[in-house]
Amino acid sequence: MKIPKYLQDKISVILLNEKEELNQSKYEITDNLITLHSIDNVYLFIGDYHQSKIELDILSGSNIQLYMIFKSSKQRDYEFKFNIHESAQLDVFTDIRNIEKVKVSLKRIFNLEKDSTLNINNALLNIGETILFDEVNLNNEFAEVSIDQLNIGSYNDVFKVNQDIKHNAKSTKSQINNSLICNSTAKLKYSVSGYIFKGNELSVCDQDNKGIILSEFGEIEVEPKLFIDEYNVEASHGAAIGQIDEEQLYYLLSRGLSEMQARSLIISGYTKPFINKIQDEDIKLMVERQILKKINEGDIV
Amino acid sequence: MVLEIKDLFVSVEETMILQGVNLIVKGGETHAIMGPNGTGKSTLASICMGHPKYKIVSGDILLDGESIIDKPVDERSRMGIFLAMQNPTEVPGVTNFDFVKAAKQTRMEEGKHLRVGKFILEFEGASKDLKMGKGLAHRFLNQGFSGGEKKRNEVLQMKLLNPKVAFLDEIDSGLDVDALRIVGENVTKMKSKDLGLVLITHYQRLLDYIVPDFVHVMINGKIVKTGGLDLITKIDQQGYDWVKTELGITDFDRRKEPVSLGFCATKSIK
Repeated sequence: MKIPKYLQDKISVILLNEKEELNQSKYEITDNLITLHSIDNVYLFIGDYHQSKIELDILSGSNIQLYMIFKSSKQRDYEFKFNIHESAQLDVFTDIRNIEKVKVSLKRIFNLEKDSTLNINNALLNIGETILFDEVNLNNEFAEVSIDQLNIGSYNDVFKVNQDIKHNAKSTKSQINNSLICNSTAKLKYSVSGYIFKGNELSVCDQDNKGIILSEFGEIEVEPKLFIDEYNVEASHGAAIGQIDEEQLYYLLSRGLSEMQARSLIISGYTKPFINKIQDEDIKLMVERQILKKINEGDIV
Repeated sequence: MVLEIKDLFVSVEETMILQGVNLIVKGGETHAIMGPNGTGKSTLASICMGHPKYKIVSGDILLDGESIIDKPVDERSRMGIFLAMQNPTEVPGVTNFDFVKAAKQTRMEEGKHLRVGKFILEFEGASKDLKMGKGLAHRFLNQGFSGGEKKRNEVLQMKLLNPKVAFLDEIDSGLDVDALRIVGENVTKMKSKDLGLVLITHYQRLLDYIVPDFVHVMINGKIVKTGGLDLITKIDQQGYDWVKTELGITDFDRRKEPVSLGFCATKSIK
């Protein structure tokens, strides 16, 4: 099994491919459980892996940057469970990059303990049909989650995304930023829910969804939902979906940019803040190329 | 440089806003346009820039003898027209520097590229002149800017894009005394025989810093009076009622654009 070129220089690489496993890391995989610890960058490559359920434990006090790269050529349903223990921090970058038009289904459940932090960056730039379900359980005080998601759909791509954030303890915090771009006849359907249950005061639950539809038949549907059963909390949600803002376009044109340049710059305003958050330069470059490819594929500009 | 506005009639949503505006702005001249709210001052600036909301019913706008009314907004900008907007639009995710750099690049001759290192220094210099702080380049375009910062950012773009004719639409609104002085001084420094300035304002205070050569009063979509600095003082003290009385202007008799009611039936008889 070959390690993809962009991962060859990395120290901690785990490849799960078909029926093979290649583990170039210090972490053991036992019964589909990977236990991550200390401070590390871990690259987890999943390509048509035969196992559908994988569990990851992030031990107390650890600080892990996990790059999850999915590359499927067959229909796959994956289910991941993450246990993020006390005072641990997990930064997960997810890139789904199937080369064939196949259906990918990914369900992830994140359980956070006291003082733990989870940062999720999801790049949904693949083709075909994708189902993503991210559930985050903030189970103890001061657990925090932040989700940044960039989703570009072109041709007849279909993305169905569910994001459920459950504030199961007081003084917990969540923030979701979804940036969605849709062209051709692509369909992006989002259900974004924040739950603050009774007694979980001083919690903060925010979500921001923005989307640009660049074609007549593209569709973005976002249902931002808040289920709040406690008074002393902070919660906000919003969804701004539409065509490229005419006033933004006019402003850029008024400085000499052509319409194509202006549109391209406005779209880059959706993608750049996401790209800038990727710390690994190789992965960042790869994502930039993928965005460009995706945009050119769908003649987005 | 000569910008010539000839008997310009402009409508928006079937309401005539400009009703025969005539104005000539030459390089090196500074014109101030004053007038009550809703008389078409900002419309004049926007139509010169080519805002798609406005429709030219008749008349012409010429830049150096060439009509620009059929030219798109971006081409007008590249020809040298600049509009410092009253409410600059926020563009999230696009950094100020990337935007101005892209705008600057559009002015480069074909085959030539912007020298980024040199441009960074220019940008930083302009930013320092306008006292905008060091992080400006990396902030998203106008996002989270205070009213004053937005106005100063417009002037910064003007400094870097070197227009031939610049409309400053209420550039003084939202500015405190110090910021007004900074903006005024920077614009005055830019004055040259190659730049024509059109200042749209309600107040004398801006014109204390950017001294105009001509002062125009616009009422009901028309320039009704032109004078010198004495006109500013009189307006500041007495408002516009005396102009209306002097010229016999009644308030807002905006003409609706003529609407066709259809054609009469005709029959040809041999």
